[in-house]
Amino acid sequence: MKYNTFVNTKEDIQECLKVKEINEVLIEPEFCAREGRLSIEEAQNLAIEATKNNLRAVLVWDALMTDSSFNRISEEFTKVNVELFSAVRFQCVGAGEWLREKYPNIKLQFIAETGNNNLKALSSWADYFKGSLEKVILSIQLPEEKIIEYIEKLNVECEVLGVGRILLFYSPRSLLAPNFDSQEEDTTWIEVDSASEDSHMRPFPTLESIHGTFMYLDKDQFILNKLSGIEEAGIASVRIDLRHLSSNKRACENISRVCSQIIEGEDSQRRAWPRPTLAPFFKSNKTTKQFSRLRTKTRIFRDENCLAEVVSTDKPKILALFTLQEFTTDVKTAFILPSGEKITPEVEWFKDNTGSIVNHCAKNTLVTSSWCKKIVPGTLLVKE
Amino acid sequence: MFKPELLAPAGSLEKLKIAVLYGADAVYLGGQKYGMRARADNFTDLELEEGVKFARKYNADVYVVLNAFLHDQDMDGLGEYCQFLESIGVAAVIVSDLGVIKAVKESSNIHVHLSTQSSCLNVYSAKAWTSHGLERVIVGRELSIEDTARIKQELGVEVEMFVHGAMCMAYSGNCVISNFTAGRDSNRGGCIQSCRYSYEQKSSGLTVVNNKSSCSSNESFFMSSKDMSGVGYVKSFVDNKIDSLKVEGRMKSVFYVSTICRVYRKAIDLYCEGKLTPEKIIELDNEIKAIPHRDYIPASFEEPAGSNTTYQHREGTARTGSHRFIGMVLDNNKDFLSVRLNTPIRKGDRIEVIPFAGDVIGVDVKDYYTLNGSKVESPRQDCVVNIPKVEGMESVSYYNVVRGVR
Repeated sequence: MKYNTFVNTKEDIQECLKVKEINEVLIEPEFCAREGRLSIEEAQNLAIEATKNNLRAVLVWDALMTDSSFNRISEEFTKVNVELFSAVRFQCVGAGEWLREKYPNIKLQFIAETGNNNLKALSSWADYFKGSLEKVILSIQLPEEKIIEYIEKLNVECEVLGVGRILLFYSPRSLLAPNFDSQEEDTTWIEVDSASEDSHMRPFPTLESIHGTFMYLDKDQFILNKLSGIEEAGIASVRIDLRHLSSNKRACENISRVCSQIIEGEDSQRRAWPRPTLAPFFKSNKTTKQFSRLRTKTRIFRDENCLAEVVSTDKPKILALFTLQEFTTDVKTAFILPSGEKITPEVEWFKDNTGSIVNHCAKNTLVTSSWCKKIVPGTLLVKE
Repeated sequence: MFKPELLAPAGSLEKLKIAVLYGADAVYLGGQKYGMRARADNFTDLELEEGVKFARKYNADVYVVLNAFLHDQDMDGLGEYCQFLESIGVAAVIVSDLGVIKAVKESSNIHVHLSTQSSCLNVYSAKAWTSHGLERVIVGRELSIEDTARIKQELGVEVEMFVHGAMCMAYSGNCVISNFTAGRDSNRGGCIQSCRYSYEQKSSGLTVVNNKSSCSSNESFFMSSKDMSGVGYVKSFVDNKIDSLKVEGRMKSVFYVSTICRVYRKAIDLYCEGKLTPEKIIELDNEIKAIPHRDYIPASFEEPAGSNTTYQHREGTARTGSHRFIGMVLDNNKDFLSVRLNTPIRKGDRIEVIPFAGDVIGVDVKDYYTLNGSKVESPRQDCVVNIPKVEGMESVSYYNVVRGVR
């Protein structure tokens, strides 16, 4: 199992060289990477330095782009000496499409962290970019058993985030600059903590770069103590993202210490991590479990036996019902209350809109019936 | 002359019928699974069949959303469901995930539209997606009309734009706040709308500018987007041959659906007849402002949404909309209109019945009656009242919406 990480400086590369398991570094030019702060020249110099030291240099192009910004960024991309890089990683499939067309020899890495939570999607994209695609970056919303399955079944390499910030939100809009004046020279980079009642005032790191506004969870994804299963399955690389823990514009301070602790299997690492950690979906993803409780209880009764819906009650005289299908009034019926409870009071009569008692109700008409206890608007009349 | 499709949300069978009757050319809706609105009741198979039959009667199409980011286990039964949708005449499904596209294609011949959830934002993205056999691309809300038209010109694929309603502040599909803070997958229908809350923001290196304070903390609704309104851009949509103009809002009321459909129907028809004057646009714009709404912005129709696009109010606290939703007509007999009330009304209130076409019918109501025939002074919410008919109400029918001036 190999590791990769982001680098911003030559010192970062030197730090990476202390760990023989690091085989790849991720380089972020400002013009195309969300958190990029490097000029093209700086990015290229880092690529040269990395390659010289037998590290694969991967250019990160993870910004999303409207057509106008795509044209601007792809034009800028033509200034990059792509041969200095071993691969380019992208999220926007348009970037992948463009790269494949313009640079058929460059290897691609697809960030499949948004959607693509099923084998069919992943294998279909792998087929689509066949010949160019060398790796997919899997979502941290996938549980371990699925990651293992995909590693085994996909015909390209896989990567997951081992430790790092969890991106919650990515907007193209400038959402911080209107509220803040930066005292720093760099006004294109703003970082604050954002806290709301909705999330119990937890401080979510929020960043604005030239590509938009990003919000992160206040806890780091951390599976460094749980890697044995995916390692055994043959995962190609685990990403160690220390950008938020590094200072002085560096991106991977202390990477050698982090990696050596993983390799030595030190269990204390998670407890000693500088930020709270979690891996909420690594065991299982239950983020749809609450959905059934959100729906009205009468939903399942809206079938071919559903005759009418109570739209009004005039206690203790009448019920008003809107019919959903035609029926004869001698049919055996029950009421389903909004709570889902079924009751079977006797309905003495049905009347049409002239006040005449009827023994047949047409579809989509307003009728009244004798009043029945407990019934409220939203109750369904169903055939027993 | 080219005329775009007006595509409306249908959160229920009732809303489907209202959308079609008020002028939608097509509606989109969710079934019991695979969609993005877990809180909505969505359509049962039976309701879906009835909805399609109703829509077809009025030459309208029905599209079904299958646009959740599905995991492997969510895809059970998807092929059979697509076959069912095809068999009842659903015109297309709206999909955001390549795995789902493949599953749809393997099981049926139903048309596939790429959901905005995929954030397809440029020609090259559209090229990659449409190579999998899509009939239409619903572009991201961040796209301009010009950018959208370019996708159509270069690839020859149908394009659809959201033209009205609420907007995610994030790129669609790129917000997972609910997943990590509430355990509900926002991209499988569980969004808890954290973006609509105010946030306290702090940083030592920054100074708040909007309240001119020197302190380093601030509270703002920085992630809450204003709503989009494109009624003033109908000319541009038509001239750029945008195939489908989509209205957001499957969770919204019949008041919303009826008003939006009526206004955009008029705007499109008038422009295509050469009668959409600046005065008419102002009139239609005012009509749209009848419904509750956040402040409107023109999205990114011309320029990327800028710094003035955040909505600085707590949800539900700002009184918006010139009118309130009174209710819906359930019956029109010889003497009375029977109206199901969404809100209490009082004797003497002025109500306005909104016909499917033609002018609004206003009346000062002197008396209300229960269905039992008794007079009632102040009918409460959630009851049905009979309102004595006045001249001009002959054509009023079931599904007409009734509003009142605030």
